[in-house]
Amino acid sequence: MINIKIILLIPLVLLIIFFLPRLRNKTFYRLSLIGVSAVGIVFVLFPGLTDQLAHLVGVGRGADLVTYIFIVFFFMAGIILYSKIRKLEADQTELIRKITLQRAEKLNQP
Amino acid sequence: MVFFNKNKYFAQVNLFKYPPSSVFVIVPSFNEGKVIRNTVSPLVEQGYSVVVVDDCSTDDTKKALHGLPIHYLHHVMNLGQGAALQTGLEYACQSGAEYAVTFDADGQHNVLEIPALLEPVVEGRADISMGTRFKRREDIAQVPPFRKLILKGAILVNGLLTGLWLTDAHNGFRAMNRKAMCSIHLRENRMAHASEILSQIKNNKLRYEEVPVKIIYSEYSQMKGQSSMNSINILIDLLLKKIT
Repeated sequence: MINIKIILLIPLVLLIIFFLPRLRNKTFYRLSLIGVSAVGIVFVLFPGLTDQLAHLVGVGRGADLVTYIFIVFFFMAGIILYSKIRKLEADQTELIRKITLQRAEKLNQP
Repeated sequence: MVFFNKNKYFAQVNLFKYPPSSVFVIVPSFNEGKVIRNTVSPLVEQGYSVVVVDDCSTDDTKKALHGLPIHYLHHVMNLGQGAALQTGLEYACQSGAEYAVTFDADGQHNVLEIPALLEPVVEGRADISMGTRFKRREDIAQVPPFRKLILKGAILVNGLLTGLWLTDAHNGFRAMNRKAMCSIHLRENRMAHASEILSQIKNNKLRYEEVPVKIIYSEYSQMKGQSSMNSINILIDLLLKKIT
């Protein structure tokens, strides 16, 4: 059982090491990253806790609870990413429009 | 090719009380190299200021326009028709255009209908006028049956989403004054802009009118125009916009 714990812990630790320094000035994302990773590490080390938590909220097994929460997070991440992409698209459009207007050509004007 | 006709120009000034050059006709174009010259030449002949917004075409659009007195704007990346329209509107606004007309590049609109479309705007009854193919019986008869069904659906969706109940949807033929051209800011880069214009008309409290126009369903415009299936994409874009 030690092995699977190590395999699961490595990406969680790497997540913190790599992304925490990059998310400068993004307190919300930093805190949620720390939170999610910390919870993940605790559950990996003490899987029994998920079962207790599952019983508390009326779910049969801890693994099921983790799956449900994962699905919710997955969709939330999708929506956040989607709105980020739209924002990027809007910025890109503004940029290209500025360039276009600066370079507007009057062809063959009398 | 027919050259710029001075007599015609003055005839129009007297007839309509505005110089045609104060009307900026915006032609968003993406890979319309085959027909763009046929679309633009009659506009130039009438003396309008023509603004071609080339949405990063990969064909010979610019070559096809060789020798025509036009304003040529080129997107360095393909952004979509809505974005091209917005670029054209901003250009017209900052160039001091009195009126702006949006005109499809594929030749489905009739140049000679521009004065009629402009009339409510010039007379001060409306800030923006929109062409409709569902007012005159002879225009309605022109619309292919399946296209009619899709358009009726779009009219319903537009009405529900924007509260503006028009007789036509996705008609690219519009005329507007400075107030409208400078206050409309399209953020939908692709085709959902046709509905977005309506919500902006509502939010900016622009006065609008519908003017009957004829849509020329040529084989080319049928093939190049939007497939009816794209209406599903537009619907999804619109709903996503409501969410995010």
